[in-house]
Amino acid sequence: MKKIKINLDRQGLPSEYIQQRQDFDSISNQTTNIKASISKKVWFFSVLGFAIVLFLVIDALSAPKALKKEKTTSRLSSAESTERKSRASSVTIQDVEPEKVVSEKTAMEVPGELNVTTEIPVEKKEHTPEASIVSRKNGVPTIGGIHSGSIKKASFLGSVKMESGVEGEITSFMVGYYNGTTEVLEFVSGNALSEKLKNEIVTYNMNEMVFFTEILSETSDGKQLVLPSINLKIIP
Amino acid sequence: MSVNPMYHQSGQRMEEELNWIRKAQSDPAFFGPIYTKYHEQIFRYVYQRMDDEEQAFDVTSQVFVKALFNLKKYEFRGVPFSSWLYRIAKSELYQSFRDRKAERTVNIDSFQLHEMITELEEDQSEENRQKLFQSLPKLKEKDLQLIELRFFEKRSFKEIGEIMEITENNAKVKAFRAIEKLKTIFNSKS
Repeated sequence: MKKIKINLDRQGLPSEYIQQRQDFDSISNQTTNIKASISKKVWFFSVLGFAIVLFLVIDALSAPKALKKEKTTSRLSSAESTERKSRASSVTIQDVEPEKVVSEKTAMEVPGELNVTTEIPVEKKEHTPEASIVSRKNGVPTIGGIHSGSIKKASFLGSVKMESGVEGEITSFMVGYYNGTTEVLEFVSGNALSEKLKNEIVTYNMNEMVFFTEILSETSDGKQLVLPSINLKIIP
Repeated sequence: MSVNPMYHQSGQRMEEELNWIRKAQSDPAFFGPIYTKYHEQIFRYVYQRMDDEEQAFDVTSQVFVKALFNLKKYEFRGVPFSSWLYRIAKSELYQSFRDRKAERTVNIDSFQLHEMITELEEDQSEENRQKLFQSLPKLKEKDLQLIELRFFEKRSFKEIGEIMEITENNAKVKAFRAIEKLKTIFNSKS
């Protein structure tokens, strides 16, 4: 059964009183405010969308270069790990070429034959997890060690700057948040997170998403990089 | 059954009103006279279903804010502009009930109660009054709305149809069925 209150013979309100409570200006102002906040939201999400598209385009253009670098890293780390493994099994390997990999199992099974090597072309091997983590860590900016997801209020307030995750420092970024009256998209020069900014974000955006977009970083050779956006949810 | 003169308008008056709406669609300042004309009846519709007067004024304000905001989407379909306002009011009202900001209330006076008991073909006793109070909340919301509109607010079937977005004939049929359901609930207790 629904919870319904039944009033019997409630005194009606006179028409004059209801007419006195009319306030068209307030209606008009509220409508204008809704329109303004929606247009700001549209503008905000347009900028955010543009930043994402820009990042995807840059990412797609730099993909072949990154793949080459990754292959090199993979080859080097495979060779390094092979070297380490062979040292651990106390097997003396003479003139190990970087392209040749010693099978640990084979060496253990035939302890007498020290020069048993199995040639496995490195290019045919799948990327080791170590290699992929190395490439993924690069280029991901963080605040308080977090790139995307929830961050505790204390950890956020304790963060002094935005870490670039690449060689070189962050030169500027945009931050979108609610400042108590409206949604703002603020440009920040440098990588520092000011106390005012952090306090406003923490005060008015608890359990809400805060977006750090258009994060620009400059490498030592003066090359500018657009880094992926940081999306954080501030939690108590 | 009385007729709401504000609701049932001549073709000429509806045409005049439509001109105001068209002007308001390009300049919101022209919405002022429409607001002044309909504020009271929308407020009474809302207040009839709420307990708190201030909440009723707030919901009424929201109705006109939404109406002004969406005015460009309004299309004339041969029914008075107020039926569009009533639909917004209904939506805002039930939103406030869902958000638990307001309590669903049925306001009824002694005369309407007397008529309702007569409609149920029962004796005018205090016991039957209490039974009716207990039976009304057991109705489905749509049936309760029909009974409120028809018996407590004395609206015509045409108006009920336009508020509830059904045809006039359908409003008649549904109102009749709502009364039958109320009778069943009323008698099941005894």
